[in-house]
Amino acid sequence: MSLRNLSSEKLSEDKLFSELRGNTLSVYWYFLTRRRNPIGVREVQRALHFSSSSTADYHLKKLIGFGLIDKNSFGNYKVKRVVKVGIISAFLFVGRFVFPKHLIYSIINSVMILLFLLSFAEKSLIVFVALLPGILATVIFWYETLTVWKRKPWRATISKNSNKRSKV
Amino acid sequence: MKQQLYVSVLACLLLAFLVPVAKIQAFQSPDTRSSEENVQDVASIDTQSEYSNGSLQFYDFVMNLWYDWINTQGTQVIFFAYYSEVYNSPIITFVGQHYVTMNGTEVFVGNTLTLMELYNDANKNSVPEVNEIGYFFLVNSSVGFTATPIEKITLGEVAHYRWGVKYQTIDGHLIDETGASKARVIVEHMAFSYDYYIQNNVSYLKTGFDIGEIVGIESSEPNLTLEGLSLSLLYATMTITPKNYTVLVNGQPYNSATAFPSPLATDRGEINIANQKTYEFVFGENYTLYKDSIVESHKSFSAASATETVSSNARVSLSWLIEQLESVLEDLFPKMSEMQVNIDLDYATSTFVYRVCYPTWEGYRVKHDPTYIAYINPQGTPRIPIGIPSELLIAATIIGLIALIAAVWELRKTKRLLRTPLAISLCTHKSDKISKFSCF
Repeated sequence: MSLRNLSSEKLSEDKLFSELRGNTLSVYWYFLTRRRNPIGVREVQRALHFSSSSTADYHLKKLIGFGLIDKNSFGNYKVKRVVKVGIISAFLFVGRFVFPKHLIYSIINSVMILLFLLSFAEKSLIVFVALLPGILATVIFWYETLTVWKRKPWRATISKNSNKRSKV
Repeated sequence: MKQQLYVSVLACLLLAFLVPVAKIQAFQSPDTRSSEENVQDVASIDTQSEYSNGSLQFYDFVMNLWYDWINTQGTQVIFFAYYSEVYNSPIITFVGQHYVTMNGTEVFVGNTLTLMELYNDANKNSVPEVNEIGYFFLVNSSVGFTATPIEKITLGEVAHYRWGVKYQTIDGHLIDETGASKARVIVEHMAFSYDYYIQNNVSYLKTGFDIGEIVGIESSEPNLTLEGLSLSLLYATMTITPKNYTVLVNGQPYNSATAFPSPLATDRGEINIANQKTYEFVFGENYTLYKDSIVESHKSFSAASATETVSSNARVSLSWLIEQLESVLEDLFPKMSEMQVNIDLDYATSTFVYRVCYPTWEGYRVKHDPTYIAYINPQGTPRIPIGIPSELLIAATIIGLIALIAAVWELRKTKRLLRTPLAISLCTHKSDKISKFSCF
């Protein structure tokens, strides 16, 4: 799909799911974590450790084509539309903090198991059997949390590395 | 994703409601609950708490069983008293203690007032001989019942747990040895109060009996009088332990089932397990007699008694309630039942039947405080059948299953999600190794 065809119309989420990938997704991710402030091309280049600003510009234009970001009169970019597609949908964005949605389920289930365990002072077999589904659910949720977290498109470590390099 | 979030929030809310509800339910007094909620089983006794009170209902709410439960320092005390809010209350009480002895043996010792006897102390030995017992008092029912819930107070850094029950305006019959009712009598009240505390691995259960004055007597026999009569309270004990035990009276082994008919006067009884004293009955203290406005103090006497000295007509007429009580105890202490010893509150099968005697009585109000002492092992917490609320178990399972279904559903969804944009992870996750432009 060419950028020209995308320029004036918003893509459906299904199409975005297939189009929004790779470094373009990483750039969009970076924007989602900094939704409040306008971001320049240079910042994107540094943050995502692109070799040149033209690369960053390419992805930014792509995102404008998708109707996801906008360019202001000062030449900075800002999120225009928030879409929860693909891996993004597995995360929650709270300010600058991003965490897997599964983390909520994991915490809820862990607290639930803990409360039940505290309620049952006698840790008998029947208590274990009763809590077994909950324990299994908790283990699965924590496993999913870690799996999703590992697949996060853009990580702070990249920007840290880029910062170090720029200082050198 | 939203669905899973809703399910989790719902599960959390359910949990937030169910846990406190299960806890509160056990603490609620019977008066504050609706009749729908009144159907309870033994599991509703909050055995996890340090102490709790409440009421169990039986027989379509006709019969209630008030309970006081104490669970402290590895020993448990349970007190039961029957009452009814529909009919006049029957007078049946029971107190028992569950603990581990110093030599690590689990034991349950129970005590119940079985019979009140009236005797004529002809030989002046203060305890009733078989031929001296004139009547036994067949308690029928009481008009009123009040329970004082457990109150914990600290005296000299020792925690005391105090509770009690009171039956008011009791009617009964004086039954002679032939089983015939000789008079109908009204007793002002009967109150049972308890003070339980533990000091240096020894628990003390100080009991307080307050038997009111006989305020009414109707008899077809004009010569029938209480003048000169003494009062005796017959108690049956129940001991359950996996090991053999011996009852010692005056330092000698004693068994009510095989003992000689003549009473064995004593001021102390013991239960020994593996030659170690584990439980003690301390009698012989003075009792108070309220003779109209005059308050007198007299010495009480006690005697170990043979089962055969108890009138054969004295079988408790409310045996169905006794059986119900046995069943409740079995449910409360299932591990005790596993010892292959039947929980039996019948005095006829008790190894230690004793009488607490008040030689000077004549129908006046009597107050007395015998003490029961248990030698406990604070390290050996008994394997008590902690009453796990069944609704809490069910709730835990249901919520767990819902969470598990949601987790599996989510796992499948996440796998599908992560499988599709494979390039994303390759580009970012291993960003240092792969060329930045290789992905687009």
